[in-house]
Amino acid sequence: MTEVKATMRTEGTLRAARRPKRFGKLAVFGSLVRHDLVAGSVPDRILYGVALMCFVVVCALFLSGFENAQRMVEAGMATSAAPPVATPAEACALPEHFSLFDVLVFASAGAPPHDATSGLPYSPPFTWLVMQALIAALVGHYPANDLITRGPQVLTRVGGTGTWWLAKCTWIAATVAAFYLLGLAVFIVFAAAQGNVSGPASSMLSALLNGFSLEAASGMSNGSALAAALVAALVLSIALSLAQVTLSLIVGPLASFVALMAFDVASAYFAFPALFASSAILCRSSLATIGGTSPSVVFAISALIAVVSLIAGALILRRRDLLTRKESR
Amino acid sequence: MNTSLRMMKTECRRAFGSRLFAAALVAGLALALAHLVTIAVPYGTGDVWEVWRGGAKGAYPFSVYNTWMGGENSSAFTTLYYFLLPLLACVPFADSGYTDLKSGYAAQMISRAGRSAYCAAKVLAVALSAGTVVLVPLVVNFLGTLLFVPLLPPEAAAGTFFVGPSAAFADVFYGAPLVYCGLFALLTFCVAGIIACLCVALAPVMPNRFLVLVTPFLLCTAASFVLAGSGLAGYAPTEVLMPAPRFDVQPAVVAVAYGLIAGAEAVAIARHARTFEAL
Amino acid sequence: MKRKTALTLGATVALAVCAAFFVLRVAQVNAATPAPEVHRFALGEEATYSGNDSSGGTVNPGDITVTAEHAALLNREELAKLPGIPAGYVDDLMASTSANDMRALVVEVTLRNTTSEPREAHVQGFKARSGAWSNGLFAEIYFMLNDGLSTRVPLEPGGTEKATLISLLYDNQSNSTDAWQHVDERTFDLVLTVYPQQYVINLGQPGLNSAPSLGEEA
Repeated sequence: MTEVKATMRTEGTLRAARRPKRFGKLAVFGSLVRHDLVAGSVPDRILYGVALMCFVVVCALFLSGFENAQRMVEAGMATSAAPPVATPAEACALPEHFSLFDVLVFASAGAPPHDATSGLPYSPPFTWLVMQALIAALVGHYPANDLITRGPQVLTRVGGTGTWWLAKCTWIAATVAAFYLLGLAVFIVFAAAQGNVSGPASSMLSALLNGFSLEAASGMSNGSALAAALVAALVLSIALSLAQVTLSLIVGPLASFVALMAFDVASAYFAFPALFASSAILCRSSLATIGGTSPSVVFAISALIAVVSLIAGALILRRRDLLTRKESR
Repeated sequence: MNTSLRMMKTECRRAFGSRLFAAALVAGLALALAHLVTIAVPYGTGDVWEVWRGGAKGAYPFSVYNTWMGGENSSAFTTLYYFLLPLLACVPFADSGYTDLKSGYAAQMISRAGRSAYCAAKVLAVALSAGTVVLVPLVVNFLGTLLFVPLLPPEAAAGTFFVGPSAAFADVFYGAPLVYCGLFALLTFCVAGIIACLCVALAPVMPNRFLVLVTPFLLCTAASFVLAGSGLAGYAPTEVLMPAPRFDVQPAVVAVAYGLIAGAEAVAIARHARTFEAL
Repeated sequence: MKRKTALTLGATVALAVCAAFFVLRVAQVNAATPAPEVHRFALGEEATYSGNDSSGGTVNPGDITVTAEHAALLNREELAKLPGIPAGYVDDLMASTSANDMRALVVEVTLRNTTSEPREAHVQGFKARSGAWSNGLFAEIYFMLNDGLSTRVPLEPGGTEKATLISLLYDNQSNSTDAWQHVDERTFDLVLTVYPQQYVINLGQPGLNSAPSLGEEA
């Protein structure tokens, strides 16, 4: 029933798109975006459900880590020779209640690149990889499949590929933003229920939970710097998604998904600048480590990738033979 | 009987003869060869490791058993291979259940051969192709490593082997290492087949081909993520297949857990087959 | 048909040649680094060893002999009763609650210098082994049991020295609860060197032996 309603809604938006000459390109663009938001998101509802569960698991892992950190601090105070204080937390600057920013830092902390000299086995940053995989799956299939299924009719009505491609890019950005907003909503609810929503991130807690202090490079726990780093992660995700979808126009959704996953794993493992997918991982940012990537660099890289993907995608579509219809993988 | 056999042959020919099977195999072999070039060859011939090869300072030289792709757990290509394993297993033929349903091929085959024959043939072909595409690179890597690194028996006192005393079948590794490798080859083959058959079980309910193929990969990655940091981390599909384990597991629990998953898939496929209506 | 036969024949020959090259190459690699030659000794038997120690020095065959006089597998209570162990001592791993139970493999050895020059026996290179488990010397307790004797035991020409080696096992190093419950029945070895010559002293089942009589000697 949901799919029938979705189809009727998309038909409605397509009928609206049949009136380009009277209402202009902007109206056409708006119609396409509305169409994509409905048609592209309906198949993804299972993935959004999986994403929701993953965010809940992140909260559970954070809570477990927070309680362990509190126990460690109390045990440390019990055995130390320091004079007694009212609460152990006061002496060690570990807050009694965590804030929303603490949860956000934990969720985007990631892991440092592999240190071959340590002799330890490599443990991938699964939290970060799962998020990247879910984003890649959310955006990976719709544009390429839509081009094959409804593409020829829509492009005929719209009168070109540029508007169609721009609408798809808008859909990609909206989908990635929706994913991050879903996570933010879950974390806000969690922080409101268990901790407190406002308040800065605790450097001590980050050191215990994530292995890095937020004061490493900036000299102080700076809320706006942290917010910039988190927004940079969102922007980089959008840029990588645009690149993935552009690649999918050539090799298909599955191959581009595999390529992006391989790139993500390689970025997590190595510390090469060319492997920029992990540049938004918080533990590698200038906020957490001296010499780390600053958010402005991430914004610049993201802008470059996004622009290149937009132009490349438009050029590919101009040359694409849309009459050869075959459902892509 | 003849019909079932012919159906199986047809499905297997479709599975092993497809370009995607070749593409997945090439991708796996590329990772295996990259590992060979970056790890095994330097260990076997590089100047930096000459001291180790000669057993200087009381060290035990490198052996194939701690050098091949399944024998160590810290190199980039091993990590990448096991991370992408669910995708490699599904790419060759796992979405054929979905495409057959959508194209009407399934209806044609079922009307000719019957539901059981078609489903059995489909599951067999998917499982065999998945297991093969995943196992061949590992075998090639092992044989390739033999060309550069000696086949020294694992030595617990050396401290350079990735199988610890608490790992499953650790005594087998130090007593009969080839048997240990064979056990994990069998496990890898079976689990790859189970992962790929998940696509067949999910085919009727998924909206498109892409989601059919990536869902097992997402579930495996999510399982690794959910179980990481807990005592169950070793039971995630990509962790349980590593002969050089990062976490300890109980073999009986692995057998029961994956047996249950396989059983659930079989029930789902049988149910879909029973309720399938071509009209 | 002839072309197909020729192709099949050609492929078979190529395969056979590749297989032959493969076998030759594997044989060549393994000949350059052969498997260790294992020399086994029993408890109470004077064992020789040779090879490189961890600092790069060479021990020639017969220069230093090692006789494992007695081996025992002690639990926490028995370990605490040994002379030199302070009351209430708990090792780091047990203190951190990573492990719930432990055993200490205690081996009394006599080291003898058969040469006419001073030598050092690097006992920190000796490893205890049982199946997949292996562990080196636990230095903290070694110093307690041997009155601060160095792990590089100095030996006068023709002289002997006694030392008590200790390695620790933990239950989280066992792959099942059942295996840990039968840990006292395991056989252990003392591995003096691993490569290219491997010298191994078979300690039997030290779990069935009584605690060493260190107190009488002290």
